Amino acid sequence: MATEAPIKHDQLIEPNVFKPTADSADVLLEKLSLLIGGFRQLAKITGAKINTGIDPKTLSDVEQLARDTEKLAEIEKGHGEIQKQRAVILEKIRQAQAQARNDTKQQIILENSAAGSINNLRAQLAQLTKEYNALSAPTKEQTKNLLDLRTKLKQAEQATGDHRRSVGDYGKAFSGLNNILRAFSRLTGIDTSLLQEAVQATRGATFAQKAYTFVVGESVGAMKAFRIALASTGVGLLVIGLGLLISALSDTSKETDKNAEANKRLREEHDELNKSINETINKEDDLQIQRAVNAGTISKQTGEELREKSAALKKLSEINEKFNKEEREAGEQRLKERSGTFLASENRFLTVAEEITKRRNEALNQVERDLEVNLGKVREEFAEEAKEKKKKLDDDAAEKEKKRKEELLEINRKFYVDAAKIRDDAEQQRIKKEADDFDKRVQTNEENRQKVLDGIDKIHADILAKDEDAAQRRKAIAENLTSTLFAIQKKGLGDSEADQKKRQQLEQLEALISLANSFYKNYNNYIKKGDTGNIALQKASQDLLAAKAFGSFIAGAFAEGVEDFKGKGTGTSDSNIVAISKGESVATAKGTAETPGLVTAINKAGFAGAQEWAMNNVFPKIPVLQDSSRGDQVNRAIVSLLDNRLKSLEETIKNKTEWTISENLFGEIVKARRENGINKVITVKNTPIIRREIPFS
Amino acid sequence: MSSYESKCYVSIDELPIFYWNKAHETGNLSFLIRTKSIHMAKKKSSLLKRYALLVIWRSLNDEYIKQFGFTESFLDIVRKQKEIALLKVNKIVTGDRSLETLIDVCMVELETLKKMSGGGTFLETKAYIEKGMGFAINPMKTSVAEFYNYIKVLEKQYKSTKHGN
Repeated sequence: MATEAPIKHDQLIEPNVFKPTADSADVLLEKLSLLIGGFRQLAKITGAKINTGIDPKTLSDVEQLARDTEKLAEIEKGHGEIQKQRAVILEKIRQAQAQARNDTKQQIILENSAAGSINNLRAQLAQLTKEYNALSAPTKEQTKNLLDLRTKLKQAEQATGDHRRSVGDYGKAFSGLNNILRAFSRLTGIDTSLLQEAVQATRGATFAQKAYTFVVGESVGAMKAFRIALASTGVGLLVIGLGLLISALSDTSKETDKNAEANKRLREEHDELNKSINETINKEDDLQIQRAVNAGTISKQTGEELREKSAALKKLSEINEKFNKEEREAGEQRLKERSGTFLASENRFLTVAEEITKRRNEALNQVERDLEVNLGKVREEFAEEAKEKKKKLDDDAAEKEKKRKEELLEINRKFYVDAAKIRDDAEQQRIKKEADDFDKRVQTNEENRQKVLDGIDKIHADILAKDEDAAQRRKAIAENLTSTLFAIQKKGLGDSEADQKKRQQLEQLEALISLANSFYKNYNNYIKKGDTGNIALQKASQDLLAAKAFGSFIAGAFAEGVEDFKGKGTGTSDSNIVAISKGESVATAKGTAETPGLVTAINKAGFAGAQEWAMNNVFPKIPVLQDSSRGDQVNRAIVSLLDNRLKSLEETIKNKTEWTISENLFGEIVKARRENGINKVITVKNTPIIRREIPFS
Repeated sequence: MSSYESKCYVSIDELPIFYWNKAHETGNLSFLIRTKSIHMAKKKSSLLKRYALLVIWRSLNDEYIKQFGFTESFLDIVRKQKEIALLKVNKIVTGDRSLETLIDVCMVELETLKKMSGGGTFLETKAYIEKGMGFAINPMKTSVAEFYNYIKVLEKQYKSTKHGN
């Protein structure tokens, strides 16, 4: 089988995929069959997943179905590819098998044709043999005689020394031939006289040739003449001999030419004669047959001949058939043997291949087992060796670790020493740097502070100027604010007796109004507490009288002044009745709280006390001052203190509510409330509560 | 995630049908984020947010399917797909190539089913509901559950009318 030729690249459906031979295609086909089985199994599993028979209930079910469908599509694709490749391989195998069959057929045809040609040749040989055997005995004899004549002629020529040709002595043959010709003429009635003459002429030419050969022999030129002269036995006749020799030579030369022509003609005639002999032989056969017919023996002879011919033909046919049968059987046997040999070779090859594979696998297994055994041994040895090495390495490592730790300790110690040194140096440098920076900062701060102080001085100067303006303004405002009714009245009074009396009356009036206010206030408080009008009036009158009596009693109780009086009410309720002397001041609860000890200090030592208080309470809040500017700072502190005091007073004045009670032209009481110098409420009572004389009306 | 959920609609009971429809039409899940103003279009959010939104979207769809189930036309398509898949399995297992003809027939039927299941647009559905229910629907204030319940009611009504006739 011619199946080992590789399948060509362009014969594949998918190029560059694989180039299998027919044998490898078989192996591949088996693998593809396995793959197809695998795909079928996968398709079954996937199909079972899909074919649940239940509609999807959730999105997960739908997604699962989509995944299974995709998987099935992949399986289908893979299955299709495998089927396609399988078809390609099957086609290749089919082509290879067809090619192998064609090759076998061609081989058989060639063998048969070779056997046929041998048969043909044998048949031709048999035909020739038959023809040869069919020749008549006379013809055979004549031919034999002719051959004998030729042999004799040749021997005769050789005996005469003429070796230039070997055509033989035709003389006798020609005489026999003449007889034959005559018999032929007699039998057939054909005129053969020309042929007989030609035979006769040939005989004459042969005689002349014999004579010349006898005289001259094989000599040439003068030697020939000399031999002729010797033959003449006469020295005296030498000249004559010479003349005759010359003449003879001349005649001989001519005769020789004639002989050559005769020879040529004789050869031609000989050829023609041979040809005619063959024709004559053929004709003779026909004539013999004809004669046999005429003699009446045709049936017997013909039957015999026919029997012989039939037997010969039958025998020949049997021989031929036998030969053909033997040849065919031999060819089939050969083909069978060849096929058997081939199959045997193939089987042997497969057996050998299997055997080789088996031995190879056994050898591999053996090698693997040996390797396992050796590997085990090697492993054990290696384990022992590794153990020793590990121990050694551990020892070395421990030693190295110890050394390393010592070195590390040394390095650490050195490092810490160096680090301490570096740190000390750095600390020194840092301190130096910080000191330098501090000096620089101090210097800078000093400069800045000086600049700030200059600025502060300037600002203070501005503040003082502004304060002075403010004081003037406040003074003007205070004068305006304190220009109450009484102040205005008092302000216009002089030192005269009348004026003093008027001032006294004014002061009495002021006290009276104060009492009235107090009475009214108490009255309102009692009313608010729920007392009736008369009760409230009675209680207010009692309070007023008690206050007057208590005031007379307690007059002089605060001659030394008091600070943070512990009475009833709030800081602005004015719930306590005190006596106050002329020229004394009253500090508010807020001002007292903000400047604790100030009122006491002032009451105790006046301005010096205030100054001392300020030195103790104000200055600590101010940054450290230089001695040079201390006086200024004290001054500024005092100014600030006074300013605070002024603000406090101003607030007191602003918050002051003034009530004015007057009588108009109609005798009605006009009550006016004035806050911060601004009239707010004016109440007119047409029924005066207190009927009295207006002293300044 | 949980902190991000608080900024999104996490139930079809509260998600307006307008944003549900927008998310379906555009595929932009940013419509699930709560905003005070009405948005006709929204920028796509970052990848991390999109992942969070995808989880929320999945839970919303699960909730919808749990409450209303798949439509019959969708189930028809799924059944046809299953039939095709089983025919393919048979073809692979038996090697019978004549089944390819049946598969082709089923494919044609599947295409027809897909074309039939298209339905109307959102506004057409809304108009159908408004006509059937007799009142106007504000898609910004009507939740998904409410909207599809209207459809459910109308379908029931239609079926009862059909059977009555």
